[in-house]
Amino acid sequence: MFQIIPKETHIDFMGKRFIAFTISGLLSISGIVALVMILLGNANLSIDFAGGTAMQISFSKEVPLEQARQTISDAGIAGAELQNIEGKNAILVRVKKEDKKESAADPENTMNKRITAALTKLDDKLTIDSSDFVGPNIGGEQRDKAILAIIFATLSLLVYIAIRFDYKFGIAAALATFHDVLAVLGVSYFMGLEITLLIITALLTLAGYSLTDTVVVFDRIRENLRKNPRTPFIELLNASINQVLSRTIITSLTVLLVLIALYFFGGPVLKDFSFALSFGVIIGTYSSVFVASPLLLIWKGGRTQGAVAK
Amino acid sequence: MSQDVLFNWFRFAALVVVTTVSVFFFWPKQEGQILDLNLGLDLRGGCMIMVQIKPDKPKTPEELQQLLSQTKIVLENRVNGLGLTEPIISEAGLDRVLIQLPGEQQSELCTQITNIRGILEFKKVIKSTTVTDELKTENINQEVLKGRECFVEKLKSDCEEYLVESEPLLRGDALEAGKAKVLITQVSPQNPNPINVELNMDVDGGKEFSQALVKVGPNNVTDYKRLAIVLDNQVYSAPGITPELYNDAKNGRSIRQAVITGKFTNEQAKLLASVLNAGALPTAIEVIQNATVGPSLGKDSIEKGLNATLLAGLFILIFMVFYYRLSGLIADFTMILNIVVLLGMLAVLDATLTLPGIAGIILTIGIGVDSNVLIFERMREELKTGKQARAAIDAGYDRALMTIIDSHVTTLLTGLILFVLGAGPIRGFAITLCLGISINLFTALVGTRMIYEFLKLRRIQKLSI
Repeated sequence: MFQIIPKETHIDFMGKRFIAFTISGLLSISGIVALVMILLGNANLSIDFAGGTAMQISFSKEVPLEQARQTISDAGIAGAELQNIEGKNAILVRVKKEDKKESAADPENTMNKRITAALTKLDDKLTIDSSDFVGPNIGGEQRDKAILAIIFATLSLLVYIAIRFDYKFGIAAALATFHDVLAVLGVSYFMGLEITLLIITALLTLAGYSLTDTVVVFDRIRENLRKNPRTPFIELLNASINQVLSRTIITSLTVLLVLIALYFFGGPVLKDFSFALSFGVIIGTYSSVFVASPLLLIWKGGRTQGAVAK
Repeated sequence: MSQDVLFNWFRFAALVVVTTVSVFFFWPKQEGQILDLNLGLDLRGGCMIMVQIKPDKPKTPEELQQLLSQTKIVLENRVNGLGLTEPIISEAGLDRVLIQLPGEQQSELCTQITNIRGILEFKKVIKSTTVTDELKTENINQEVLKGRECFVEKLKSDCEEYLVESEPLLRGDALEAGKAKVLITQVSPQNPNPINVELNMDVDGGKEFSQALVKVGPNNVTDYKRLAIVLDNQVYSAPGITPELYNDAKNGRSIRQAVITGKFTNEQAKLLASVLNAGALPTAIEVIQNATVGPSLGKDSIEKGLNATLLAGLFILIFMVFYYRLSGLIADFTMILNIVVLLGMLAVLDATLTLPGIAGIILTIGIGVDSNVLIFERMREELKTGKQARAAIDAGYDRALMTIIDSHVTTLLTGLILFVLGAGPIRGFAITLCLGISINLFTALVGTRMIYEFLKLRRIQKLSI
């Protein structure tokens, strides 16, 4: 039989909990900073949330990005962000928070028409690959819904774990899950990733995945509590984590493998999504071991007894 | 045969039936189809527009509801005139209408549907010219109108101006709502332009139309008499009237049907039909969201999605066999089964596959093997404690069962929340993830278990894991 993990491991995970708490604290703070920035409107929010226009345009000939940028700014379109699309003779143009009065005055002359008209001067055979417009109200609504979704997800997962285990396990698992979401949000923010609907989707998916991982560890802790109620809790936690370690690593590996495929071959739309999710899988695995389990330990003060199993 | 064996054969039969039915449902039914699945706008190309009604003064909920359904009907009429396949028009919330037009049309058509206020008039053309600033009104009963081309950046070279009588001969309400359509006829030497537009009048409209035709007069080579079709003060078309039609009108016949011929492209004809179907909106509207995806980007996304899926699948197939040997092969078998049933379910439920949806399928492949990993790792543990192969199989399944159910429920919960709160493509992700996870629970517990039961029957001593 082939094994990645040696037959029996006896790693003292709980002994490293203080290092882990430091790392997790920093990650959580970065997430909270990101969250505050998003709520203040200072983050790199996509037009999904900020409102605005985004277009992908393919050229029939070589058009330098600088030239396109100049042409668009000459056409009186302020605040346009331009970016080349890898491996294609195409660019992405984004105009966020466009002046509403200006666009409302002439519904025929929408932002996407103005952009197209400007770029047609450079290449009259251009094709519009995609064009998106999101009104400011819709943007705000989508942002509220995204925040609501994350809160709902965390709460419902907490309730489920509380029913299946007990409330202490539930809160530990929910905290760990929330930690993961914050960590990925924070890292995405500080890496300058654009916060899109897909990134929020990645965050929620990761919440589900991270909890799955925590549940596997908790299940084993519960089983061991029933079998050996007299073992010191800290030893029991270490033993449980070691027992499920190979499963944890293999599952994370398989999920990472498919996400790598998605990152490199899924196209530009899914690139940031698969990045955020890959990072989320790593964090989710880490947090079941180093966040959720030590939280149980804090709760029980390292004592042996305590009714846990239901 | 013992009851266990019987049960196992029953499991086998259920699996065969489910798989066959699934394959039947998603198997391509038309040429050129990859699979018989609904594709989202992001994959097949098309456009989506969300409009909000903007009543000029506050309305009661009932009034608002009535305005909304009226708006929806007008928009529906406009869309139906385009002759597109599978347009979707639905009310969204209290004051919104969502229009989805799949397929390869120009975004021009899409904005056309919502950008018009819908005041449609037929006016008598006195003169027309392609040279600007030449036409002048001769008296107060006349006005100068510009052609539609003058307002479109790419068509400005075809810009035409018309001197028309201000008083319309006929108004849009004479037309039978939503009945104008593109008419494609056989090409022949006598009929070189096969793409035409047909318009229909209602009972009263037929009489008015007839009178209007008489006022304009018949078309002939020397005296070019035309009737301008004007929407929101833009001339969309100015057809001449054939002598046959004129004679019918002159004889006092009510004319309820007419065909506009010309050198139309399909797009132009669709546009004209949609103009004739415009109908006035009961209230002002505002486009609050608009997404257009060109067909080439859609094709590109499908290709990339497929490649990523195949690659991800291959990674997992190889990894599982490498790591778990025969048991890994069994897991691979369930993974394939999982995808087959997932595609079948998507087809049965008529769900829409989006690009994030494909990401959901890929993720299901990754998360899906987790059930098997849980079971296998447990079996290995049980084998380590000295259990026989058969006992290890049973213990592996029994002990891992609750964990598997827990882990599936947690992922399902987040999937459901995404489904309820998400929109468009995100919903597509939630659907494939939820379905994938549910099916996975079935295949892991029924599919792999069945194979192990068959293995147990052969009284194996050693487990390849």
